[in-house]
Amino acid sequence: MDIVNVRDLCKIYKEKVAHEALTNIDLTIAKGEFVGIMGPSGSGKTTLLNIISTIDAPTSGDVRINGQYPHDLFPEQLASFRRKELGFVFQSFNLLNTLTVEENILLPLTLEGASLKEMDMKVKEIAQKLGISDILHKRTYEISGGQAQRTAIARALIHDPKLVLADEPTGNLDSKAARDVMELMAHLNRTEQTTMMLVTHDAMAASYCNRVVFIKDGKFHNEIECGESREEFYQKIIHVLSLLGGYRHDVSSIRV
Amino acid sequence: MTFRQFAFRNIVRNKRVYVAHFLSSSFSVMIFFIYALLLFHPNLQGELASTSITISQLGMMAMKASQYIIFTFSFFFCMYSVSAFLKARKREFGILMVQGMSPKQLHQLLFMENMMIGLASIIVGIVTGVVFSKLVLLVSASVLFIRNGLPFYIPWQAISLTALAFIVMFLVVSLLTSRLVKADQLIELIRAADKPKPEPKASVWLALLSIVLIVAGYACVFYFAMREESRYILLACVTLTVMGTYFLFTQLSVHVLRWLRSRRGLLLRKTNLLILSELSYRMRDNAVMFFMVTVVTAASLTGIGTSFALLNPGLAAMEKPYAFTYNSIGNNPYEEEHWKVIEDELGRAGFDYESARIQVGTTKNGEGLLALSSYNRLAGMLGYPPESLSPNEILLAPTTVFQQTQFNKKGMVPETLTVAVGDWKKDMKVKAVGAAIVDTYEKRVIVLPDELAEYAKIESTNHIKFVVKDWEHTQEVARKIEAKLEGNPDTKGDYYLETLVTHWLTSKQENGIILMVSVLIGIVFFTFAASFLYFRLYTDLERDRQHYNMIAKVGLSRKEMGRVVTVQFMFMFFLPFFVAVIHSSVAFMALQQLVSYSVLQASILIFISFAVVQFAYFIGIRWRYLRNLTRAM
Repeated sequence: MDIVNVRDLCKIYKEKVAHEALTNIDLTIAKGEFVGIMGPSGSGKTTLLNIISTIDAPTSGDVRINGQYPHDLFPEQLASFRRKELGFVFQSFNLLNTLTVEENILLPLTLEGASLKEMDMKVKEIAQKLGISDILHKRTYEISGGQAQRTAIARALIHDPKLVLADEPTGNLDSKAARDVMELMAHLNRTEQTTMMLVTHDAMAASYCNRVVFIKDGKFHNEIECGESREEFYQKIIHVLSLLGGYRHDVSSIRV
Repeated sequence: MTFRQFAFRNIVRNKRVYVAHFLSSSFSVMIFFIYALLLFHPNLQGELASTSITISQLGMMAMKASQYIIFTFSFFFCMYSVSAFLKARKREFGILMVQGMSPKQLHQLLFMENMMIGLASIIVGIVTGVVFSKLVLLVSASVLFIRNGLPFYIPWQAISLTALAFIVMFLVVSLLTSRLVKADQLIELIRAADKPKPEPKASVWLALLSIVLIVAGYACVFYFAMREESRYILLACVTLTVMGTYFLFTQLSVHVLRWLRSRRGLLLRKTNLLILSELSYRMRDNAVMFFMVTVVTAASLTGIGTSFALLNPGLAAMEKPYAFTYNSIGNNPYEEEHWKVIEDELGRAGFDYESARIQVGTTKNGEGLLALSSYNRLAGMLGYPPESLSPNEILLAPTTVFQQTQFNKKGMVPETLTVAVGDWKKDMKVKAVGAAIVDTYEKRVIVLPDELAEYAKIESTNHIKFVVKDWEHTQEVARKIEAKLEGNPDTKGDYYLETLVTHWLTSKQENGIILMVSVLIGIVFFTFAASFLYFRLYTDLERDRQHYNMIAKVGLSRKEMGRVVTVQFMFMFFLPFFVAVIHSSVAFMALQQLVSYSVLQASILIFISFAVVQFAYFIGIRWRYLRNLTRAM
């Protein structure tokens, strides 16, 4: 069954000069898949993610997630859709620094109005899985970047979403922490069968996916699938990136 | 963690963000409360106690006007502080919405936050208000040597009015803020770059309108002072001036800044680029703030200035121009003897004096009658020009200054008047209104030409008037004179002595209440204005720190940064102050029409002392701000 079904998606920013960020994008993500989206800066990959994650609205085309068209929902229904079906992981973690780690993880359940018993059970379970049981009562400024991203992942997963969307989750981490986070995500994808979509600059991070889709100038470029070995997949990704244009030598720009 | 717990923790653990908003809300509550406290004070019910009717009326009207201003501005202040506060938290709302918070829940959260802060600030505001007013009442009473000042009381009425007014206000603000956050544009919230508000639309017509409104407002004040003392006129003048000031800052400022930026030679010289771009970046915020600070400052300047005029010895002298008045009762045999005693004592004490005896008759209508020669004698002593009359003309002399302002209004003085005394009766032409120099107890005084002077002798009493140059220092000699006159018990009941210095000292006590009220309001308003500036800076501090940090990396030295900040602060502190000074100067000029002594000295004193305090604020806040700014660098 398909979780994400994007058909003929266009996005035009109507500012002083109209700018076509996405042109006729088609994308299908099956249940349990881990898909990476790559492309040079300005290629439209974050726009694509924002539209799928209902943060932004498409100019034309359809986005279907788990059989529903979220962009047609009323605001109240959309909020409920977001907190039931979607989970988010951001480059800058986007944790609320007024809350403890545990409270941050619980936020989607709080908004849903879940029972305290259910919250306690779920937070214990997920913290164990992600190895953050020891820091549950710390505040967000007391933990490292890797721990913060694990917290964000726990928050994205606590309500068993149908789709987890990650926007450069390794962008603010050192290489060791980045590797840990990607391994964790790949592991959760395999064991929990969580469908994931990842936007990244980083070939290492992308190599943990099952499939990587490349876009350039808002258009679909090509896609490659992971074979037997992750090393080989990594080489293939690097190869496509170099074809996309001098990309390997770019320093990944920091976006907020 | 339930939703309510979440909302509560969000506030408690994020104190820094909320503290500015909380403090400014508490501050508005406190000010409103202090005002309500005075309004309900048992000693201030009805007409304000004062020795002068003019000042009493003025005092009441000033209190009414500032009552409206204070409530409107508390409301604006709260709205302003809430919107600044929400702007800083856009990104947080974005995160919450992404996590699936529904618009309804967001509004619920904002409502709960606002009400929590609101209730807390009502409590804090009232408590500090009680403490503060107690303190101010104590200090001002002792500083001004007021014996019968305002006693302190537990103001249940004021507490309930304040609580009620602000609960309603926070409810309205809470409901309005929910509308301020546009929950449907999530992408805007997530990006939430610090987007400035767009420049206000500037039209030349509105800029001109600002001048027209201000001029109309000024004209109203003079109309109020010279023609008709109606509270509606005063209200109209306040409204017009306030509106004019608003357009002055929102419209004219845009034009001026645009003009400055268009001059590249000026714009691109050293730090000017930074200063001008910062000023126009925050133009809208600044314009609104300048406007509010100006109005509040003008209100406090005028309030204190008016009450300072009360302490002026000129007011007492204006009501009673003579240092001593010796009134004979009936046929007083000691008159000559006593006159001599007073003159001797004054001479011995080294005072410059002049004295004159006048005979005042009474008409059948209860008017006083005085011969022109006597009138001219008094006028000469007090420095008024002498008058002349033809045989069928009279002068109408008011007995108080209040009556004089009444007489000076159109239609208050008849063209002819029937003078009836004894068996004699004649219609006389009223030539003019005289000066208020015959301060007898008749309802008004008719000055007859010397040809008819004999009629002024009918039913008459004798008064001896003394004019002493340095009468403020006659307290000692007055006591000696009184002791001497009272030395002979036989004379009791034959005379009655009035001394100006005693009258002045008593009136100082009585006027003290009004003075304390106005000084209190003035101080409170002025602090209000200064804290407004401070809270505004405090809210933007984080953004400013990043901003200057960035520029410092490009190569702005600390010294240059200090200069940029100083120039901006000078605008913030002194531009509104300058406009406020102009506004209150006009108010003082209008006040001048109501009183006959000069208020120039008092107003200049007020302006200077306010400028000094404002300068101290400027130095202090600038120092704190710069320290905060450079700490992270």
